[in-house]
Amino acid sequence: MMDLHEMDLLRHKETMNEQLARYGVRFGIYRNNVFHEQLFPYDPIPRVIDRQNADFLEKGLAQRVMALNAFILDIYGKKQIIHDGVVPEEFVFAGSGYLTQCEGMQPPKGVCSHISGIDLVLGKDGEWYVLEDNLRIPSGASYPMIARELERRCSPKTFRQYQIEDNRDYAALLRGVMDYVSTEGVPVILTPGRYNAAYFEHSYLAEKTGARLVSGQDLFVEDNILYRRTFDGGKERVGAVYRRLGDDFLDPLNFRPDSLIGVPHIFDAFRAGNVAIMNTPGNGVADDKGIYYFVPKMVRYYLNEEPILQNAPTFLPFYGEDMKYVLEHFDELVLKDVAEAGGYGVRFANTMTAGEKEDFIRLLKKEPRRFIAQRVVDFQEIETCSGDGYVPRKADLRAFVLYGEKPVVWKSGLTRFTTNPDSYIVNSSQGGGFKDTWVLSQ
Amino acid sequence: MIKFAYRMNLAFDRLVHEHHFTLKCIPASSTRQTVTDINFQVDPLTPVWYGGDGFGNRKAMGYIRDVHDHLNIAVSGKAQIAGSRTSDPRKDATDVILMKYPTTLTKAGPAVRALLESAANACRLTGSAGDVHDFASCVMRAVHGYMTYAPGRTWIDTDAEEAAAAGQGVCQDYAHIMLAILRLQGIPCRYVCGILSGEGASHAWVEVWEEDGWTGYDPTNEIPADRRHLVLSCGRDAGDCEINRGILFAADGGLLHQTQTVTSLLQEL
Repeated sequence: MMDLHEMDLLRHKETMNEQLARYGVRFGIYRNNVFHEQLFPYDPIPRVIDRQNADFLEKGLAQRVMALNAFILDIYGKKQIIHDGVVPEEFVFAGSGYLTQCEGMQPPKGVCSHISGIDLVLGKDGEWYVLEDNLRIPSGASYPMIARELERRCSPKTFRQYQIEDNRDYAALLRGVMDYVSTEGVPVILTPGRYNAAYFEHSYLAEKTGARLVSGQDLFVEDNILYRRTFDGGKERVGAVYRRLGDDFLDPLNFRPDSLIGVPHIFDAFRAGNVAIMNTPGNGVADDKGIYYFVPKMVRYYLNEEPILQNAPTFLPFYGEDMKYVLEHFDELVLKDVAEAGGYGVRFANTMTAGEKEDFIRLLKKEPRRFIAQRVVDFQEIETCSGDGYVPRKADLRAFVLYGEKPVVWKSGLTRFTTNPDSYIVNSSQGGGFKDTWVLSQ
Repeated sequence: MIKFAYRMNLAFDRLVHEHHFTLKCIPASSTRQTVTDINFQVDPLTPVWYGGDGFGNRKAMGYIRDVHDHLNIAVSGKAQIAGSRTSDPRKDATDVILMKYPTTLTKAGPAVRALLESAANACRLTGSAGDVHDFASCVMRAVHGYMTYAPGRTWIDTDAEEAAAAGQGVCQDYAHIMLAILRLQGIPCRYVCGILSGEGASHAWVEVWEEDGWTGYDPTNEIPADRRHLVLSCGRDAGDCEINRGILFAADGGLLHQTQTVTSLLQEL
């Protein structure tokens, strides 16, 4: 691997962080019901992915997303995979990700997962493992996008020194997907508003794609057609909505009735085939932590191919055999509550007290479907600047796959690292920072 | 042949605007009922468009932007009802699977479990449900015998367990309890919202999947849901069959109250 200690960019860590702060690159979280905005610390040492790894990941990710997309269409359609006994129906219909409202839906061009954020780690054994699929509203692409823009400005030299794939095409890829699935009319990005954790990203992507940034009250539906209110009191038709609010809040007449940030009847316009919603509502059925176990089986089932990417070794206590294994090897496992996201509900058995263990096992036996257990993947560290020196820190990779005519893997990604040297949880809502992700062009 | 009419009047105590609504009150034709001569009216006069939901129900939708103080809807028509069975020719009727799973409103607790046990004992059925039709009839009898019909004691969001523990409720509660019991046994069954012969409000009952079709049971009256029952919509529970769902705002921003009046009529022609 290349030596990055001589990289000119290292001298610009402070400037980069100042610039990122100036551009409003922030991350918002709610703690005790109070909204806090915090900077997302940037580290100049990138994750570097060589050509061979990049080719492998591209093939594997495209394959995985195709299978996941096929699964979503199947579940809300014929449910063949259930009839054929590959995925047990309990995991689909008893989960919170499945939405009956979506039964029989036919999304424009058959695309459900337009933007997928697949979280991976590189194990110490040199193998990539998928930890999680995010098919609802995965965020984070804007951070490496703007970081690269600023890096090039701070240190153009660095980018002459190394042969790196340009990642500034994300907006063009995203706009390409919007235009491909659009029915008729303009594309918009629908934000829940200023007090959302990823508001910076919404406004940045709108600026870069040329799609209008709108909130719920800017849109309305008439005769199953979605319109945007124009400033002169008129209306223009909307053909594609990249929505950055969750299914629950999207449409008070179809989902949570108390949502004031959604658009009444937008889901009906979608069902009628008159607008594309990106990502399609109901995708949660495929990225539930319990369904994750079945993704390699989906690849074989729908594509008739061997899965290129592997999951971390996972056990479903729902199956008697797996429950036995989990109880026997409890201390070696990490347990995840399938209903939680963002690094919440993740418990490492070896950090529990005897009493906690007892309580947890009781809960596990009572609600086996609620949990998955995984062997802890010991993943590689990446050097991170600390004072004048370097320290190793655990880091994961969120790869982005954009699906229009076919799935395209973005030649970059969000690398998140832990600030705590002992932590394995790299989720940004749990603290930590980010790095650029370089894909070598040769 | 029957004729039916359903009317709902919503009155607001102050002017409202930005009113979006969805109505599920237009009966569709199926193998059990043939609906003709539908007349559907919304007042204030406003453009209405149509769509469907995930259960095959018809939806009428509208948007009233200007201020108004009421929403009145009226639907009427004629229907031919064959009986209590809706046959489903599809061998792999996929939406049947999801009717097996309890929802928030049809989750079982101790009271529902106790009712299951007494129903099974009364019919001398063992652990396995045996014949679904016999079992469902038996559950219907048990629910009807156990519950006391008492309007105003339960709410639209009262779940099966709460109603069973209270031992009283209205048709919606009877239906939810019956669904909760059947789903405990893994039997696919669905909630039906409709109109019962005579005059009154809307009614609710249950349909149970029996091999190749749905059979209707009316636990409130302990009768099969047959030619006296017109189906308006169906779903997993009452939440899927809301006749009216709307979002609206008081024009002056004040606290809004609404009064709802429902009348329905179904009679032989």
